[in-house]
Amino acid sequence: MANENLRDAIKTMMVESLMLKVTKEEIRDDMPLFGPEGLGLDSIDALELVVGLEKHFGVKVPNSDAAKQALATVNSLHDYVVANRP
Amino acid sequence: MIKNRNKTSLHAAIGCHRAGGADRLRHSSVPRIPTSARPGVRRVAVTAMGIISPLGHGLAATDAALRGGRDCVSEVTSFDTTKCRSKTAGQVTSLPEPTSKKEARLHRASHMMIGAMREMRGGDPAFVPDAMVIGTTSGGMSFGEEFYRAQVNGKRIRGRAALVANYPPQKAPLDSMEAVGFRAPLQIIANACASGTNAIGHAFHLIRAGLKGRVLCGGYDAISEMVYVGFDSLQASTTEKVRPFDKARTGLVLGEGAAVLALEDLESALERGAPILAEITGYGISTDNHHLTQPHPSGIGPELAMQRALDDAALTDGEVDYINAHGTATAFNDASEGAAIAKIFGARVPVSSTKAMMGHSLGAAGAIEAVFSVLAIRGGFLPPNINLNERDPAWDLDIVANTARQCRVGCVVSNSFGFGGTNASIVIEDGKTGVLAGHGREVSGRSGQPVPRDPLRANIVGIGCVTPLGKCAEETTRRIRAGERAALAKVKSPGSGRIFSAALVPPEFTAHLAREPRLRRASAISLLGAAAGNEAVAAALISRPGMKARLAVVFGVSSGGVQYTRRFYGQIAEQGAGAASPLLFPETVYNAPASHLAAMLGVDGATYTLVGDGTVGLQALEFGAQLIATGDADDVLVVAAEELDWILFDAHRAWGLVLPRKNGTDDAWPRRGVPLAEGAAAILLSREPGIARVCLGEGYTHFSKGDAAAMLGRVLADIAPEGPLDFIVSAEDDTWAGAECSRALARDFPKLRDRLLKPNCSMGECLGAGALLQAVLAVEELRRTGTQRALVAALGWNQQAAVAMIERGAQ
Repeated sequence: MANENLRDAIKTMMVESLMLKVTKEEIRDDMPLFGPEGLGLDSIDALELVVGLEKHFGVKVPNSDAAKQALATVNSLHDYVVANRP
Repeated sequence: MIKNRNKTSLHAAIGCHRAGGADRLRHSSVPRIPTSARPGVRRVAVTAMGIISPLGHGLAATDAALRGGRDCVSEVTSFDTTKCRSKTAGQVTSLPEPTSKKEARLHRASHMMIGAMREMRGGDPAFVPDAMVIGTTSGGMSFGEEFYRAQVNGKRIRGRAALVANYPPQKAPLDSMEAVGFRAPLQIIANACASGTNAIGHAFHLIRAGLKGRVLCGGYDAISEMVYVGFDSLQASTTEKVRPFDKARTGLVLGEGAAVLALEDLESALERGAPILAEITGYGISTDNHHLTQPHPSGIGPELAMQRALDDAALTDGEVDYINAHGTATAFNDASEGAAIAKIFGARVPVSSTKAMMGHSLGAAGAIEAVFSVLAIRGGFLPPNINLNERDPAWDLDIVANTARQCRVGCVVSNSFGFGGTNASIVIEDGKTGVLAGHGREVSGRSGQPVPRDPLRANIVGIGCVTPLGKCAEETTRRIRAGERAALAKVKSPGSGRIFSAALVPPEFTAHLAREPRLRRASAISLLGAAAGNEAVAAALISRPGMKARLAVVFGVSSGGVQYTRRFYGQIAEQGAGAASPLLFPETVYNAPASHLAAMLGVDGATYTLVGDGTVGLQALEFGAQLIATGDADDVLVVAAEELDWILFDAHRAWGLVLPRKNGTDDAWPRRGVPLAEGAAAILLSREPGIARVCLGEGYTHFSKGDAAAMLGRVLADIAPEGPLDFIVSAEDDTWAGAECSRALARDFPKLRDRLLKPNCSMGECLGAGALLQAVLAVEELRRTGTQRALVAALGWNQQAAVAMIERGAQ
């Protein structure tokens, strides 16, 4: 999967599984996912993203340290998937 | 509402109010007036209790387990936990033997409720309640799970109707009422994990305000796969021992059980020589709008609940001997609760969480822990907080670590907090030694039937609704009056393959609300409820900008967030627990819509969710009027809403309530079965006068179809109008309940036969939203036509008959 396609797939997964009220085009690659400055996700979205990463990309997030590293931006999600893909 | 009473004779009868109170008063810096001496305040006694929990069946077994600090958490046996992180729960292992074949067929939750009820009945055989308030979180969820699996697998299993019949949360309490022969109106509070404490607190306030004389209250919940996986998906449950307030705590385990308490006006209990086990003296409720599943870390929610309960009991923190904490052992709960306890009580008052012994029994927890608290008071011991290795140093608390403590216990604060930021605390005090002389005395003749009371009244200051026929009350009423019928959509069930007709609310009616950040994940029912609620509040706010100061929310539902519930369980059933969406689960909880609405309106006080049958809207209206009468709120936004899903159609068909479409057309409705409809209605009640006034007939519980019309006749007779009626809004339609309703009205009001407004025949059966919708239409029609008085009658399919009379205000 080419990198841009993977980023796109991650955004599609986010919009659908997190029920975001924005389109995937509105999500920038370097936009913080959590907090008011970014996409405004919360801890439940984080849990859902962990489920989504496994379901859609076969990638496990084993602990909260890994989660912190992976779930920062679309770019960090992308890098995490690339590094941990089976 | 509160009558003045001379307490002198009562004091003489019971001796000193506060035996051993000196010890506690030493800690108190402010001189205080004991509750009993506050003028005009009725006192509320606990005269009997019953309990079934993982700790055992009955008060004696429970008492022994509490003193011994027994760990009753074990491997889950009723479903497969292979794909879950956690594997254990507190499970009830000693269910009572059923006494009949009929009883043997009932749900596990019913058996628990029946067991608890029979024990209570044995403790005070003369107690006949005039109301019941029961808390629960998941009702008969395991029946819903089985029904879902049967539908999806296309299996033709026998007894599908029974699965559906056992699903509603009112079923287990109704079964237990039938088992002991009670027929009081029943309110089911579903405020997530605070429900049990809310039920006791509300029952206590009803009696203290003189609205009821005897109320049976409590809570129940039975472990189900869906709820178990839900907590697991949120990573709230632990893979090891439950360690409340421990530095190394890792989460909760679920529990189950049932407990009931008989509450009565102390004076009447004394007069009939009833046993007085303890006294309920305070109740506090708060809503923390921080997040649907997480408390604000400052602990403001628990702090407000506890402080309000203490104020309600006219106690200071130094007079409390023990705190039975919510203490789920999740990182968030204990941090917030610990901070709040430390702030109010410091390390002066011993604290323990009994959930370490038996897990978190959700809607039952508050009731079970209230029973524990009474046992602690009567037995002079503090139940231990087991599994504690190292207390979390974040707060300086006196935790009753690992073994029970012997000491005098005169006053307990019991906490329950839940999803949706709902927090409740109650204060329980010793029944004063002098009172106990009554124990075992011959029961006097005055114990018989409930005393008739005046119907409850409340002012209506705003209305709103969103229906398949309109986005507001005016539009909906106008189109019904014009004889229009809702356009029908087709809903295909992938389970049964059948196609059903549905009257849906156009999405554009609620689209603006879906953009609210808080409502991003909300299900349709939350959006519908918010739309109707906003209309009712907006209208009233124009004339009264300061209104929100003491606003409460009461939200009535029948099936609740059924779309997400079906989706969430579908993921579990089809792909296993690992695929369960943590994002859907919190929105499946009955009180999610009410919590969202409270957050949008900034309500920090009372927020309640009631579950019931088709009459739940009128029950919610009555509950709202009660909150004003008890002084709990000045304004109450009452909402009822329902959303549709294919599983709901299959369920109603299995029950014979709806029919599938025939030959692709159903132009004949409402004559050949009504479609189900979605929608929401809202009425803003107030202490201040408004556009109309509602008078609520006390609901009567029925147990069979034959019984139903008779009960409706009874409630119609109770509410005899003071002047001529102009019209009736009836729940009449082609269902048996609708037909019975129309028969009862034709019998009692023959002259009004041609002045009926029948919304179900214009837009379908709106389930839990239906009865409140009828009331909204009545108010709008009174306003539109300038008429004076209307009657609203609804007959639920498995619970209640309810009637409201609405009179237009002076303006």
